[in-house]
Amino acid sequence: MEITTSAGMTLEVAGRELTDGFGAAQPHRRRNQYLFGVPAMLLVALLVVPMVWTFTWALDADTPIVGNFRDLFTDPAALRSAWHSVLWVGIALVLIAVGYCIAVLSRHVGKLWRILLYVLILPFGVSAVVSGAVFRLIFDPNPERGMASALFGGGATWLGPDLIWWVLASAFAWSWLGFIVVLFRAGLDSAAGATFRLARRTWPKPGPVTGIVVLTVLVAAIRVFDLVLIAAPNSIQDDVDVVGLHWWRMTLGSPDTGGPAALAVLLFCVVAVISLIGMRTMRPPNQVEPLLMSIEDSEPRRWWSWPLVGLVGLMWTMPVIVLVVTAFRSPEAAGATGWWRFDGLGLDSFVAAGATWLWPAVAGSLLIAGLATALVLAAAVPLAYLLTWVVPRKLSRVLTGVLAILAVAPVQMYAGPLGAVFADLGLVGSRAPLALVHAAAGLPFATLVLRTAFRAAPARNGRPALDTMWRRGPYRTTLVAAGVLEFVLVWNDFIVGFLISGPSATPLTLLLWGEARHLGTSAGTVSAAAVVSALIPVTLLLVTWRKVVVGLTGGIAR
Amino acid sequence: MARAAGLGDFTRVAVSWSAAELSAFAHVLDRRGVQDYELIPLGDDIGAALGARTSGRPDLVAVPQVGHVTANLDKLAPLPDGVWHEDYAKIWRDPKINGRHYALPFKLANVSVVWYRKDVFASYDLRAPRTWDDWLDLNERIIDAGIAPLALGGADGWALAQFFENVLLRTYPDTFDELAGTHKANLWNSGEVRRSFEKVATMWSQAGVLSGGAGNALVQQFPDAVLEMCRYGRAAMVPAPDFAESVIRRFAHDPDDFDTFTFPPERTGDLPLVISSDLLVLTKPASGAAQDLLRYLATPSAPLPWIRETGGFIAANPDTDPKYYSPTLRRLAQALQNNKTRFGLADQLGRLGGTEGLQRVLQNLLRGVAAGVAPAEAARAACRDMVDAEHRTG
Repeated sequence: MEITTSAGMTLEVAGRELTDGFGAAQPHRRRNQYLFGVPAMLLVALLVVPMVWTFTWALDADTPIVGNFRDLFTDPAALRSAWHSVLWVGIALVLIAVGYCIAVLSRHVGKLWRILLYVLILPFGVSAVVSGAVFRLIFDPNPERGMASALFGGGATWLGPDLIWWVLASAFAWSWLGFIVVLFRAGLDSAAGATFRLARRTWPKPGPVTGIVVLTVLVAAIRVFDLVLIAAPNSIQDDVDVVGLHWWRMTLGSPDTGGPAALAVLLFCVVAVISLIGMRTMRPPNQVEPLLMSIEDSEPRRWWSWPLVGLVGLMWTMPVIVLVVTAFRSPEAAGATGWWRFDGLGLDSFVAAGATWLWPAVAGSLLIAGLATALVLAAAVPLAYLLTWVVPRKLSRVLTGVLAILAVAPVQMYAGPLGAVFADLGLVGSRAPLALVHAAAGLPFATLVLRTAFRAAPARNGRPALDTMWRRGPYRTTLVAAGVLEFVLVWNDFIVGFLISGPSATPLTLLLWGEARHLGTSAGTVSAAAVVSALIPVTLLLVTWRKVVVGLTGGIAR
Repeated sequence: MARAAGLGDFTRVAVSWSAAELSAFAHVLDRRGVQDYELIPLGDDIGAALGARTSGRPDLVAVPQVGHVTANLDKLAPLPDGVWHEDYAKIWRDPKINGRHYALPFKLANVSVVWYRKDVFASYDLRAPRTWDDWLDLNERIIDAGIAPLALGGADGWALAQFFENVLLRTYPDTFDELAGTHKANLWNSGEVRRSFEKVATMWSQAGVLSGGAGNALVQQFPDAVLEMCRYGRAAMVPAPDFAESVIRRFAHDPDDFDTFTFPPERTGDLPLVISSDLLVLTKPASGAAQDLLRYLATPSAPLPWIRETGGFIAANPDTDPKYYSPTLRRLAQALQNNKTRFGLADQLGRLGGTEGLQRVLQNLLRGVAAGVAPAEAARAACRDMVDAEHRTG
């Protein structure tokens, strides 16, 4: 197996089959093994150094240490953005509760679960830019073009200040509900009938997946960025400003680094605390035998199965239908009238997008996502291996905690210094360095996923040799899961490319945003490009979702 | 495929255009016969293209705001010899360094334009207004006929800024110039500015004047406002630059059904027109291929595919053959030759003219109008906000 380090060095790992790994009793051997952690350390440094830098910026003020923070707490615009981020946490909690209920009900729908599952999981592979664009199309204020305005009459201004939050929350729910339901369902299936009491009722226990669900969705809600940027019209961006976006607006044009840095530090502290609490609840249970994740009926089917699955299925497929039909209409037809007219069908919109920018951008995204995934796997697998089988337990725990914090660190925490370094070194718009930053950003999460899965591997398998992991079934599953997740995250990323490298590196999502400048009249080309951009991650996810769920739940649901 | 992979020697061209305009520009480039470029549509984020000194930045950028060129001269390479035309100086007295020019006007826009439906004007026997008061009367007559007189693209702050700039320039041209230049303190608080805001608010707050109401205008983008007039027939007029023609040609059932009048001034007289321009710049260090591409774009016939097929393009090059323009565009292009011109404030003022300043202030003015705030009060608030924005953007 060849491992490419971030510095471009290629390590060839000798194929020596050692079921028991390297001898644990030989300290100098152990030291040698630590060398495998070097690539990961270099990548982590790429995150940690700029984060420390941001900290020093935040503390450097006229009134040392507190000055910048005091300014934030007296700035009404900053406070409003913070309040909006809290609102997002509320939206996330409601969504988690709804997801849990659907997961519980899904155990009574029999084989229909198979349909529901794929319908719900599909949007999870779609980037926030695309889902924001789709919901903006659906809620277009123009009754000729916007489905909601056509259905409910022109009275309500959906994208106006009063209703925009419903649009944003719907788009967020569309993306994340599948993730929540599938993980809760896996947890419910594994928990085998355990229950808890709440509000004088007995509820089935979803088990240890709760931690990862709550953590992931809360962090996603606090870090929401591109969805708001694309779904809300420019004139009401102030009404939906969130901390992440406010940070970006503060950095625009203003040379002051202290204010934005202080805001980033505050955001970071909040998510770090959530992450640490989440990690505590996520300790895998000691004596629970892993169960098979089933997509067969686990409870007798009830009469309401069809209506429930039909309703949720319809609501969750609707945006897909809107997107696909719009993409297959000509730019003229799609720009003036709604998808339900079904006229002007053809490939014109694809041709129009392809004739200008689409294919180079697809190639650019493939390059960035592919390279980042390769780098992450090359660095994270050895690191997770060390953390699981080599590093002493106490140290391993501390390191894992550090990784858990880094995994949720908002991009704003390192974008400032990294962006400045990129500018100084002349790397703005270059693809390979952007891939390197992506790899650094993705490494902590990938390592956590791998480590949890390695730990959950049955003890009888013993400690594998690093180079044989691909050949061993359970580990291969985990490697695929980590790889797919990293690829999809980078492919769908907007914020890292946007804040650090700028749009000239031409990842697909950024150019899609440029094309969506006048979303209504360019609905055809935007939808065509969105369909192309969603095809790869969605296909990957639908093919490998089982492995991904197993990877995410640390083998609880194997 | 090599182009797709971002490999090889391809000139990277960054533009702000999207949709029909983007396709039109691709046609312009393709007519050279070689596909040696990569097109990067950056939309409103075009400012990032000149962001920093860098290896991965675009080689050629079409900058839509003059202020952005002057602010980034240090990142630009001088234009190659032989592309500059003396007539460009009439449009733009660009900053020269050592006698060399740094930005080439490519596309011009006549911003002092109001488009209208000929059929509405004919059936109610209406005539194009010649002064601001004429226009207010005209709006009332159209409202009485059961049609909304105006459509506005309030979600695009620049569209509102252009409306305000026209009112200010064609009422108080001296104040306009002082605001654009190195102006005195408290100018945004002056009576002239406040009265201009008030005129804007007065027209927008007339009951039934805005298609879909002010709340709808706030979330509607510029092309959608044009559609209100040219496709759905809900509005009789739309104040929009000449490039609205590309939207009309693409979406109207009969593109010949529309004409324009000049944005009405306070009093008739020899007043300047508001313009904007997309300027081509080369980033440092300019490659030979990028220079060749710019030389090609500077030729009089380069923009002809755009002019013929898409419309809504006024060539900055005075030698471009006017016979390919539509009659309306030919007139609008001619008007730029015959009149004094000014770039819009939003184009010249940098951040103060952008979404942190003038554009957001006008959006909030429109929002106030939607909420029923009186025009005088809305104008006072707008002046206050501009003074604040001036402090903030330093």
